[in-house]
Amino acid sequence: MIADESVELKLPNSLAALTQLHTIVGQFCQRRAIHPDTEFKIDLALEEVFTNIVRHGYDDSHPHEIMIRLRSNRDRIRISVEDDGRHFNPLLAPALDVTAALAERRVGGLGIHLVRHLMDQLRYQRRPDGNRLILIKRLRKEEKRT
Amino acid sequence: MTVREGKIDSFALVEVTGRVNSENSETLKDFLQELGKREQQVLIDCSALEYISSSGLGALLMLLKLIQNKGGILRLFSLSPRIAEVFEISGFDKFFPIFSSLEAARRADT
Repeated sequence: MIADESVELKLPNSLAALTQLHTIVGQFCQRRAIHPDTEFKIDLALEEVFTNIVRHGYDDSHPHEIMIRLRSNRDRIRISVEDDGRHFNPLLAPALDVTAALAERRVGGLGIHLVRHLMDQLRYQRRPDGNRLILIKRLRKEEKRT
Repeated sequence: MTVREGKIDSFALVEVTGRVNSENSETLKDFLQELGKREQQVLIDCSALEYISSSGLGALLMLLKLIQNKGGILRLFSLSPRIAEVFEISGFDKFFPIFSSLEAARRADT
């Protein structure tokens, strides 16, 4: 049996860190033989969460660190994203109306809408100095290792 | 990400390749904005588009509005199943005419 694995990384609150995030997610998923379709969804969900924090999370222009932990076992991947930005629970954001007419469609809210649909479970924890969002993705049968 | 522009029939043919993320989507948006102002009929080749996040979708949405506001045509073709799923989840598959190939896209109204 392949042991549970975890990876931890601290990224600056800059969109330039997305390349590093993508690389780390790719390496993690490849080591765990995660299906490329699942890797794509994790990659995308994580970018949306990270981008929201970088763009909307801070009231100042100081550098901040965003802590990301990836952990997997046989059945699922658990991703934790912690920031020290202003308190914001994305799970309380109003649902996006995907049936709205073209003229009414905006890009705002699309990111969290994607995250909700790409992941199997989301949990938000308010921390004294910021936020923690937990993303859970169940692994498909064919990618579970025995 | 790379963006290339060519011409086929009366269409501007745009090929977007690689990964469109929130770091580089502004480059795509600037390109599509300029394209949308001067072109009436646009085909977008997505066959080598590996990844797109909401910011890239926003750039395409902006182009669609520009083109539709002047009664033009915008068609996408050759989306991978992963990209097609992102369009479906977003509800964008209802707005964008999506075709399986360049041939299907250019001959859609013949």
